[in-house]
Amino acid sequence: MHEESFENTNLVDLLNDLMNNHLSSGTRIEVSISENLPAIDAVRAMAVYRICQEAVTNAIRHGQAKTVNIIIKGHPEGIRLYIFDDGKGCDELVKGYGLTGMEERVAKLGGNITFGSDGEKGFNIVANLPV
Amino acid sequence: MITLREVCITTEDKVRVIIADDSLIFRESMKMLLSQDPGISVVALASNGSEAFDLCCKHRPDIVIMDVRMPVCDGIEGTRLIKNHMPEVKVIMFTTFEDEDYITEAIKHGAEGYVLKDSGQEHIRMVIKSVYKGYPVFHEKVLNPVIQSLSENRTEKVRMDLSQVEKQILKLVVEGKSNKQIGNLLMLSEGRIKNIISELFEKTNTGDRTQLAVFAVRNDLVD
Repeated sequence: MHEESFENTNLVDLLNDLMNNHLSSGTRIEVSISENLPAIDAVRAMAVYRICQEAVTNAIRHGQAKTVNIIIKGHPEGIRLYIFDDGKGCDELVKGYGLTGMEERVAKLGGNITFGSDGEKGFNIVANLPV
Repeated sequence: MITLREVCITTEDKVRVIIADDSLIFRESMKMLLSQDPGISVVALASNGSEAFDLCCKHRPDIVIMDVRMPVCDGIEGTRLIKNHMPEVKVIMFTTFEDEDYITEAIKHGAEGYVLKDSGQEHIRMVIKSVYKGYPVFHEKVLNPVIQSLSENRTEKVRMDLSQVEKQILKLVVEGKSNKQIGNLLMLSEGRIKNIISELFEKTNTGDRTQLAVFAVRNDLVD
């Protein structure tokens, strides 16, 4: 998929695609987008989509997650993206697994991202993107 | 000669199906129903998953219609066997249950379709032909619980009175911090954090930290 093809598509369509693409994996993907979300341009929509895509791939491949929850909300400076999976989690974060790529993507847009796992179960991602 | 060639072509075009179900009446009547369709040929009948696997080795069908609950070897195990050895054979799960765990298991093992037994025969034929052509098909009723609504979140938010400490802990649970890390950050003992989180599970009716984090974010319990 080329980045240009995302112009004029909205985030909801992109995430719908993401959910449908992973139907056969057996992992359930739940997405909720809050009503107060500010308008986002194609570049940011693309970044959010790519981060979600990477997170879902990790959750399935490395975490064998049953459910991935994606929640996107508006906040005063922009948008906040939460991704929670109930997979295996990890004791120590190994950057690789696409996490570095996510960091770079967010940093390029002036945002920040944190990864967390309590070592027993689950993996949490919280990203802030200014709009 | 022309007639023979025509017959050959028709046979080749037919979708070759094996039906696996522990009910003799069900598989016989299913065979009868499907055989009325000129595009479908039922090549064998099995009474459990392992028999279905053996018959697949022998007949190499295009599609197996697989019941979920069967004695000796159930449909999930049968699907696993078939998909491990003959990934090209497509499996359609067939059940009376709208049970998500079954769906998830079946899909995990590679099932291409899933229909409920109360579907009309037209629908079942359509599913067989679609799956044969490479389109995964899931019964509408089954698909709905799998895909959660993507629509904007208009659900009523839960109001909850939380103490400052509870709010701080929730925020850190959302970030994926462990009890030990939270304890260090808030200068409280790990045991105290564990207790507060157990209370939060109860208050929010959640069962683990992931569910608690999702609940907290969805209901605006964290800033």
